[in-house]
Amino acid sequence: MATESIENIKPIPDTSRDTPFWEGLKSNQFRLYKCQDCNTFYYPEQKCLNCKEPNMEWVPTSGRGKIYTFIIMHQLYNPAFQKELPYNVSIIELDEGPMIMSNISDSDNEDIEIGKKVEVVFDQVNEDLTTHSFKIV
Amino acid sequence: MSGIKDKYAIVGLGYTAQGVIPGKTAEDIRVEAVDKAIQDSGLPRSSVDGYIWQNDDRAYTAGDVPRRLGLEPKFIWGMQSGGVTAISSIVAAIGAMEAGIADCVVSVYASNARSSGRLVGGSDSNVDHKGAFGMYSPGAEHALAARRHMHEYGTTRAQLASIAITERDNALKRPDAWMHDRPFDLDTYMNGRMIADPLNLFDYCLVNDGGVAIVITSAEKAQSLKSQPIYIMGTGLGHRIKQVHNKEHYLRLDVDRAKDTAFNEAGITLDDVDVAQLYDCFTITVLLETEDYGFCAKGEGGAFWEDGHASLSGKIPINTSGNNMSWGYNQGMTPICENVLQLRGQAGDTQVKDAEIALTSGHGTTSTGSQEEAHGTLVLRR
Repeated sequence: MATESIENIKPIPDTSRDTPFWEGLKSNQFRLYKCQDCNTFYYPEQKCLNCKEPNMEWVPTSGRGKIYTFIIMHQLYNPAFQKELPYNVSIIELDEGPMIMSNISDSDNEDIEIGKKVEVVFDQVNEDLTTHSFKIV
Repeated sequence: MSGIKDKYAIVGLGYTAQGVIPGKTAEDIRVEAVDKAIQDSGLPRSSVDGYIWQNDDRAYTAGDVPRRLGLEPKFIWGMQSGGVTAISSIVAAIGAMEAGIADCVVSVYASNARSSGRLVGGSDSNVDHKGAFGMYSPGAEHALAARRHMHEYGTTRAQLASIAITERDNALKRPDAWMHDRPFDLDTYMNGRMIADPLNLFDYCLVNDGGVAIVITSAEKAQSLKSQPIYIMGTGLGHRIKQVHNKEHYLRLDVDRAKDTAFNEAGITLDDVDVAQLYDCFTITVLLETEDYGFCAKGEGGAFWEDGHASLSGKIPINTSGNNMSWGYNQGMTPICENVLQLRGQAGDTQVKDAEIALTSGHGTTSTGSQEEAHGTLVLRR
């Protein structure tokens, strides 16, 4: 493994928040936080907006959605992203309702369009961390 | 319950040069802005008994600024939620005065971001749930909203450009604006360096050195001062925070709650507003505010600006000094500064004739949410 200075390593997600979500990714599950009383899904974790004393839990979901909006980043803020410029950052509207920030992987920037259907990709970083991206389907 | 309408006034305004100020720390610039504001008010230093600053990470040395100026305030508050902070500081100042804690409160923003070479908006953290996906900076977050707005309403880049160009045209008439000698047109805009597509360099506010400070006191006390009081008719705050990502976030700001509170307190409707400074971190923000305040219908903000309705000769002059995009970036203090100048009749070649009631907005963030969600409304009159 090549030695990399800390400056060239991408930030990792803060898995101390929404831990069951990140645990789920490790076993190829895309979990969302669901209110079992009114069947509304949330991401990230929060108390249900509709119900008084909500009964909530993380449940596996489809991992499917569509592109709601995106940017193509041209500006370098973190040297770790140098090789990827220009890259997309996208907001996916999941079929179950919530929206999530991620990247469209495996597509040229020109092929990314609002409305296109996507599916989650489980990206293993190491033994302890799997993160996500989405591919156009 | 009695309200606060017309009970308090801005009696002092101080601002430094805007642009590049070599050899000065942010603290130096803060001292200068506050000094100017106090002198402008005519108040003796001993009267200033409250101090609020928009803080950076030097919160625990905040006292150095009042000390250097020979002030002894009863409180020193640091507040920071981006562009809404200036309006929030006025609300806080009023609270302190209503509670009998202070009589004259100073509020200040200053920075030496340009000279210190800070790249605004980045993240140094190696644990960052947005950085992990390459999302950096408020501009990029707003760009997400810009693209969606284009998709839903057909808003064009040329329409976003018209906001930047209108503000630049205003700044060209203002010697005190950093960009007073740098015109640009649609062609220049279209060739601008792309930052977070669809927003480019010209969609972004400036990064400069500079500071703005105000002094607030009771309307009663203001009568004995040499400066012309600018009365606070109403204030309001809002905060779209209920979800990190939500369709509403991308198309509407939480203007409603802030505007309703402020306008109800002030007893005005939108028609009463003679001049408006809508917080302009980015062109798309101004466009959304134009719609959400009701100057035009949702989706028509682009056309409103492109057709000149917000220009100095338009229906409702907006961002008359060039503001954060062309005058000088002092977060929420810049629009307040311009409205005070307008209401005092001191806006030179960008003066809105007979401006009597002015609307100021502020827009900022307090969380790691999708884009800046906090909003503030301030209604001032002469």
